[in-house]
Amino acid sequence: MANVISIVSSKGGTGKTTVALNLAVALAEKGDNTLLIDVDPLGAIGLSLARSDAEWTGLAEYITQKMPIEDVIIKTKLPQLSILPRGRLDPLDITLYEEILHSSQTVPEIIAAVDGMYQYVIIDSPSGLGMITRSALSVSNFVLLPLQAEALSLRSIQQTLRVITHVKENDNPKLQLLGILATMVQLHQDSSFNILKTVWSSLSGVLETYIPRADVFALASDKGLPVAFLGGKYPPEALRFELLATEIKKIIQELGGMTGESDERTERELI
Amino acid sequence: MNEQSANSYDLLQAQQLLNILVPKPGSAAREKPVQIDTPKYSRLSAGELPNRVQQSRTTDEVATVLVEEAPGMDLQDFDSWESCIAWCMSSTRAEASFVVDSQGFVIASRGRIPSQGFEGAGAELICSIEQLERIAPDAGKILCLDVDFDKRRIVGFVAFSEDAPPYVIGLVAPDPLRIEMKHKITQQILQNLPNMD
Repeated sequence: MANVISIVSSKGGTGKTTVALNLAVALAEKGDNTLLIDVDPLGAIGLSLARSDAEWTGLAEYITQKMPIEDVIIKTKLPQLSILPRGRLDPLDITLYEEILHSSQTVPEIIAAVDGMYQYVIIDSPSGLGMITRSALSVSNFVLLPLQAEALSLRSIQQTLRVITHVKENDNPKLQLLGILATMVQLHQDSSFNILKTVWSSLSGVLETYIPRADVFALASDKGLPVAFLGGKYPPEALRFELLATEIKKIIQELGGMTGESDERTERELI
Repeated sequence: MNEQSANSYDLLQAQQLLNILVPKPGSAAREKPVQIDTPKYSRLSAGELPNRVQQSRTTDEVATVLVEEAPGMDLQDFDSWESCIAWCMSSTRAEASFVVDSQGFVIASRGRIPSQGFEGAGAELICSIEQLERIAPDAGKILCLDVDFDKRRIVGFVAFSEDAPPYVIGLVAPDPLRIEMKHKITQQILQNLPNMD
């Protein structure tokens, strides 16, 4: 059974897509079959990797043309990573797209169809707590909450937590919070440092890993690549996502999820 | 570092929610529910919507809301569909009115009845309502349907109860009905529905 992880935040610009993409890459590079699903009507994953938002077929074609799900999932050059893009959705149809994803069985059907094929399914949700976010949460086992290290993001965090709690209590009892991931952290700036200090001291469930604000993300976005795929010296930000993947896998294991890993070791001989 | 800035955040409720959401290692969830001081959010889903955005309510909720929204209005007592549509005509400028059952058969009519009757119009209204509810199943029960033709219109009111097929009350009128009047008529019909034969 796949571990379905929704990346959710009420506030825009917190780094959901960056986290979703680079976390999916980090999990895949660890050898775990991973599917990255872009349910964001903006098609942020496609915008991050493709030349335009009309380059790839995806969810939109699955819905409108009833294409088989396997035909709209893209195999990447990283063998363990596949992507289900948003598709060539006309921006004028976004309202209809949201209603279909919310009211139909589209999202549960997709998850059921890919369940045995992947160890991790990462869902990149749109900003806000609307219909699509609720749909994503209703089919997920886990939710990861990126928190931009700035005041507005911190003040709005309870909105996201309230919706997660509501979905857990009413729609999806198996939903569990993986944790709060601080993003765009700038420890050399007082405001960012104080936010992080407040988060660490006031809230539980904050992950040890945090993602710093760095130029390398803009460079990766410009080139349409995950940070780990940039040429030159391996960026420390890519290492952050490796740490994040490790931390998340550990939490999932503690929560009873299936990571395919065991603490059991066979005895070895040294000499 | 500015130590005081941390005081500008109210994270009590966030932490209360996290107390539920963050399980202790090795346990999937807390065993006992935790009481949360819910902020004073306005619940759009709790009947606080203004008329213009109401949707997806049950019969009882609709009737309750409509009564609350029309304070001081005298509730009429109807013992038959004839008396009901007579009151509807007197309350509006309708020139004719009719009632059809869920099969589209006219069970009462009044006023200027066209020679071909209202059978076809009633059946079409029922069919249209069913079609619209299939198109938007999450939009809730349809309470009212306007069909414009020539310089007049038929306003169809849907009277449904939980355990009986719906009736449609049609008013043929030269003028559009204001939303408040539609609510009043719907309220009267829903309140009297159990008493009418």
